[in-house]
Amino acid sequence: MTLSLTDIGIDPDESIQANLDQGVLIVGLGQAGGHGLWTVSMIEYLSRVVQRIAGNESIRVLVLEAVSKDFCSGLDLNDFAAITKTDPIRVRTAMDEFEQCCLRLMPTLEQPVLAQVHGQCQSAGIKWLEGCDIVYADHRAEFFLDESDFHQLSMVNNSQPEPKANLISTNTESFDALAQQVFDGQEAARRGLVTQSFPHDLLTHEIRALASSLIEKDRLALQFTKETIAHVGTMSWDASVNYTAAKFAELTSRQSGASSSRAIAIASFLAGESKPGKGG
Amino acid sequence: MLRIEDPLPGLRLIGFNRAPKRNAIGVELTLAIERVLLETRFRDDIKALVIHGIGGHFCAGMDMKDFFDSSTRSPELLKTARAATEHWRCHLLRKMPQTIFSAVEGYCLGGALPILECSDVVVGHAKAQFGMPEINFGFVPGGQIVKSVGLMTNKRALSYLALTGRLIDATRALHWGLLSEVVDHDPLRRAMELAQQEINF
Repeated sequence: MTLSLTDIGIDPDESIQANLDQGVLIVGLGQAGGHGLWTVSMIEYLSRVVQRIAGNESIRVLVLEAVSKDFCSGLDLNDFAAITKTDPIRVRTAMDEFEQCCLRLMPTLEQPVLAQVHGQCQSAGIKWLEGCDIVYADHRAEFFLDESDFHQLSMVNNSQPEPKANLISTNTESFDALAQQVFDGQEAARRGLVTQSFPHDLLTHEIRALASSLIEKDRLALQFTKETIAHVGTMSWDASVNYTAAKFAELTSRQSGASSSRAIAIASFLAGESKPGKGG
Repeated sequence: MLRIEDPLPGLRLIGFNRAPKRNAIGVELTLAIERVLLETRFRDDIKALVIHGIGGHFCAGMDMKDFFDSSTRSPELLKTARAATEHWRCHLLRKMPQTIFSAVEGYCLGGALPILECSDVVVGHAKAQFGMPEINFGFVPGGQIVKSVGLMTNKRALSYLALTGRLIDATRALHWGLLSEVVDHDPLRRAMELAQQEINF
């Protein structure tokens, strides 16, 4: 079944192509032949997409890719400057929401988030990758930690610069940004910025095959696996054991179609059949 | 379940010996692993351990027939076995005073991965396969396994393994930090060579 984006509350945008087919939402950025400069409206759109698909069971996998010749060659500074003159709060809000989306919402989104990168990838593009679960890159993609964009991202949020991606050590990132280092897709895979790199001709095929394989998985198990990845790293070993026990119990209950005791109690309360708040 | 050998002074081999189940960790095996580690931990004469699988596979993870939905084991025994598993993989294996070498061939899946993480050196055969297949069964990998794999590799590799359930080969496992070395001959022989060097050092 193919759904239109308006069916799920996402308005079309001229700078972004989006297609939802068989549970895979593919978002294509930019215009064919363009350089992949991300505008304020594109940043807003991406945040909106992530917010809207949370909890939407008709979308099983999100894939971000570029229609333009670069995945992200930086922020469109002309667009940012023009909007900052007339509506600076809009720009600050857009960047703040984008950061929130990449660092906190995407990692716990129930859908796997994939990206395929070709051409240049820098600034907000790298921030987006940080929120992705699996990233495939063209062998010849060019990754660039741009110092000016990095500070732009930090300054509009009025905060201290954060590492561009937790995937890269702060020292490596600082060196690359200061020395204006460019590295390719294969090196990005070695560094852990992307999952794997492929020859250009295979990239789209591989990401589509991956998305198709993921929609075959149990939706709830995928969600819980993502949550486990997001949370257990900072837990003690004993806490991770307890977390697992709780998650297994919840998974078993929900997969079997049984409502949790909490859901039953709330439904009963709302139906006026019991008063759990009073102890019964 | 386990074959324990002390072939040379200072060296102990711990072999998973459940070949028909690809050395999957069942109730008896997990209890045996806990016992041997408890006993070996205080043996001053043992300087190095080599953990390996017998019959062509290192270990296919936790035995589903014992530990998951279809288990026919008593709740009391399962509780004991689960506690033993968490004891040896979350605590005991990390406190062993001996240098730990692992020799991997065939499958090394799911619940076997923390053994690699706790090892000082992991030698893998070129045709060994690694993965977290839980998602393919509609399960979630245990938090202990996810945490352990996350200590060996980066977030990208962890997400790939856990979300796709795909197996990876030894070359990729080497790049992703699961292995120290890939060999195209017997990894046990190589692990023993390295262990002997360590003992003689």
